[in-house]
Amino acid sequence: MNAMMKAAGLATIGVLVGYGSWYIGKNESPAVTAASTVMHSQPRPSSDTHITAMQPELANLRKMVETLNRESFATQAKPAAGNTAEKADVEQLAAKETPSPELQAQRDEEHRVQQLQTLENRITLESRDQEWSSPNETLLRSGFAQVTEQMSVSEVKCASSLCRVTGNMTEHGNPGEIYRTITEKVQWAGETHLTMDPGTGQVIAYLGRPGIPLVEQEALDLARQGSE
Amino acid sequence: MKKVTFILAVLAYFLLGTESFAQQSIWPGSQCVQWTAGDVVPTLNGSAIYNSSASASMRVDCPIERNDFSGFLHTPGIDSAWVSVIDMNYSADARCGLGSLSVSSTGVWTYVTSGSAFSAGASSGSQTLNLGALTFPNDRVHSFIGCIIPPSYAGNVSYLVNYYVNQ
Repeated sequence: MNAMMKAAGLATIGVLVGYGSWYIGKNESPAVTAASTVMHSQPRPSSDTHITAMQPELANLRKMVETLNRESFATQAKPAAGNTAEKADVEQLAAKETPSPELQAQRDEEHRVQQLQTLENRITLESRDQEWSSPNETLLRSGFAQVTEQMSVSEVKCASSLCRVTGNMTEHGNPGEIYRTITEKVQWAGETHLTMDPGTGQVIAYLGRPGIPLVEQEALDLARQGSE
Repeated sequence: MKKVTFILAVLAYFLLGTESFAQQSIWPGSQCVQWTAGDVVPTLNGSAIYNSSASASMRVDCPIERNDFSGFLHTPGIDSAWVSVIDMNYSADARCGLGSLSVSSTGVWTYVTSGSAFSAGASSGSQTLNLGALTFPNDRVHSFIGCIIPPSYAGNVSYLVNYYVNQ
């Protein structure tokens, strides 16, 4: 689908949604308005007050990460100055409604790199939550110690909302077995993002704090927009 | 009137032509396969599977037929999923999690998984393990549910009955 058609569709939907909102707002009964006010004024229930207290800081960090990603992606995506032929090729390819397998593979690779960069930025920018970080670093060291036949662990680091474990595959290591062993031995209740490169032997695992999304929807959307 | 029809047609084109609709499925446990050739082989019973080993856990992956892809204003993924298990082992839990795998053109393997859901206690009744949601990072990943079913306990076997996926 080309950009103009998308823009036209967005504009149409925007107009209809705007009209609908105006109409509903105009016809809303006082009782509904009052109920809505009461609902929104209720404190948000949470079993983990610490996570709730961290939300403003996390929100700021997410914004910073998004800004960094945007800048990073813009730099990577920018074609070389003066190389108009290459730019034309890229535009021609992007204009195709159904991307070729090669273009799709290129986009997927960009998404993957973008996602890793997002996670890396997060763990770099976040402060430590001492009460959570230290015990979970110990837990992960202990869990990953059972994967030694497959990989050697070089660093375990936890921030506030995620941890990162880095290491290298051993000569006996293979991605499937490492994944299976980690799944079975490291009983992690949160999301996991595990990347293994048999070419370089590098293993990077990001483990999200339970209850907090590891891969932000905004980051995925941003990556998609960047490659379209 | 013509304008309204035109607008509705444009909307229908964008929404119906490019969106994938939510699709729900329930699959029998017999769809699940052992993790490796050396793992405990699932035993069938009414298309449910159970672990007949008294000493080893049954480790299985249950396939998910992916039919949700990127579209206009749409990010693909699994909205919810659950697994029905019967945990008869008093000393070990059954557990399952959503997973996805992609191998990039440069040879990098990426697994993205939800957190594990564990059974609670042991009983002859079925338990539902809610697995949460999973967003697909791109349109080439496939997804699955990975489960570990404990060994039998005093002759009582534990089951993976079936699983549900809404994507």
